[in-house]
Amino acid sequence: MPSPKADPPTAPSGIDLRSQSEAALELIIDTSLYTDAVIFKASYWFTDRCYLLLERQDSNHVLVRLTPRDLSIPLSAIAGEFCNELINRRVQQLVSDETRMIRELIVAQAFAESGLTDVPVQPDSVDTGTSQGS
Amino acid sequence: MSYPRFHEPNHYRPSGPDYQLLPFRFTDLDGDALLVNEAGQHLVLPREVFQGLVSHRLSPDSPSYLDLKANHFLIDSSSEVPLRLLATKYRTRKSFLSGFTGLHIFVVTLRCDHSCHYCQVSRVSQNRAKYDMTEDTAERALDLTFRSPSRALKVEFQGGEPLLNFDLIKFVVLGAERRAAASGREVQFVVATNLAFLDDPMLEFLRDHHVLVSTSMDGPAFIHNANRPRPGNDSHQMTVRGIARVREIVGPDRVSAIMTTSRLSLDHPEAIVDEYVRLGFDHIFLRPISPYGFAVRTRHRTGYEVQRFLDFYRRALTHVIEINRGGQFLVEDYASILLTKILTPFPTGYVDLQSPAGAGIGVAVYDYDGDVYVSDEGRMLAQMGDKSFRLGNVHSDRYEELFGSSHLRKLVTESVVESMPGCSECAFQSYCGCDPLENHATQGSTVGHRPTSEFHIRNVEIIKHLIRLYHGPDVFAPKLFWSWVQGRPLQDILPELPAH
Repeated sequence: MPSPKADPPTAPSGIDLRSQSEAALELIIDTSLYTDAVIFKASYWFTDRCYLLLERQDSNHVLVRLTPRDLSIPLSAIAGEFCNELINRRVQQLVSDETRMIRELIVAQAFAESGLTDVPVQPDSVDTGTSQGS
Repeated sequence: MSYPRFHEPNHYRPSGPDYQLLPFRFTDLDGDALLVNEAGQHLVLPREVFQGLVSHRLSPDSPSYLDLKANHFLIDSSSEVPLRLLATKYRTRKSFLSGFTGLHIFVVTLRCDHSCHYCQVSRVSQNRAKYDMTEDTAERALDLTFRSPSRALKVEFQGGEPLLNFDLIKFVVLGAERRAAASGREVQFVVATNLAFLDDPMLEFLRDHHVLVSTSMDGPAFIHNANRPRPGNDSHQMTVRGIARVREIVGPDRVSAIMTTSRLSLDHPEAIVDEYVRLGFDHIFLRPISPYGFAVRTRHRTGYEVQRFLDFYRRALTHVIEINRGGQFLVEDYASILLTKILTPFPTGYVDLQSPAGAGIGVAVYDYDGDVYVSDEGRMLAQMGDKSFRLGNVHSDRYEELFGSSHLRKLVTESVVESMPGCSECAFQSYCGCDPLENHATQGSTVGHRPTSEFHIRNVEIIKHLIRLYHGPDVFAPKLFWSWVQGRPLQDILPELPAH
């Protein structure tokens, strides 16, 4: 979720603030840093405040055009929030990728053991090895 | 005899970074990072510590390192993968799935004497034959209730005002008791009533058959009577009198109350909480208005923005905490449900905060005419002309057709927060849930749109508020919260408090 505090729109690495009219903001995103999934997830959280258009520029760049629904919202605040949200989503993606296999094992083991019929009271912390964990 | 030789366990540990992250999600909490792992455990970290953690630069000497390790956000070469522990906690959180539909609501009549502005259902004042559930319909609904695999069933009577068809309540209770005895199952009964029509024979039946009573109490008389008009404008007086009679005849702990927040309520959180204390309740459930039924048609009188409800809720909760600090035990039920999810792996049984949603698989509603709905909200929408959540009718459809339908399967599939846009990476996934009916009613699709969802905004803000209080400077708050979660008297935890 976007932070309510907006940073000034200094374009971080991988983001190019291409144009800023009074009504819309265009960002060019480097997809080698921010994947399509990350860009879409970040964009989703701005659909309450903005109309968004995503357009592929070339194999390594996506254009994001943000047009505020309410023109009283400063574009600089939106730009800053969007950049921060890209980073949040990218870090979440990194954590998710790094831990995906463990997560799948946890869920698989949770549902495999004893069906769903028993609610254990004292969880067992038996070692199951580290081969899947690192 | 020779034995194969093995290396020490460390030999088999993979090389690489000094520590390995375990699955978690995160969000911003006032500039800090709030992390929640797959088992629902949470930690608040300074932002720079979080950045160090995810970039694998966090020193084992860091004060946060042991916390992260102990709470299963990372493992290192000296720890074991707590896979089974995390899986056990995860399974415990999802154990509500095993019971399938446990709550069965019988709408025994649509007739009612009240004309509440926020009422979620249509009410009628006449035509008993047309708007009361018949014994034949009730019998068929009972058959369906006992087809549920749940070992512990709850039968709840709703209306209209259910006491206006008390003979049918008796019929259902006696029929359910027979079936429960024959099948070796537990069944609990609840009647949701405004108490206006209580008489001694009813009270004695409720006592003899262990029926819990749930009533509405919106606060002081000026709020309650404004929210809940009836002839004579004496709803508050009737309810207070009824509460006393239930305590006297049925039992002191056999009546509970819930409140609904109207526009008028918003300016009086303290007075509402005080009224609950004055009436001798040790629980209060601060509920927002539901976006269904009559509440929608009178929205100009009852509606408000989610931020106004959040302001109301925070003020009321602050007052509840102060009352507890003074030695009077009082639980705010919504906070207690969320805190149970935040602080323990145990499911709460609260169908509005689970994934997948409880509609149809946690609760079923049998309307007065035999129509079956996935929830009470589904029935309300039907009364507005939208039958999207009608599963069928007890007279024409079999159990398998009602509860195994593709319609219900689709609803369940679309209410799994682990795969919903905006929820799938939410830090509060383990604590929250989704309400596909509210999404449908307010946003036009069961999946909904999280950035503008009042359900999402309300729950995220309340969860954050509770976590702030839990980790805040007031050391009383976490102790109080644990007493709520554990159901222990406050004096057990803080013996210095004056006894009441």
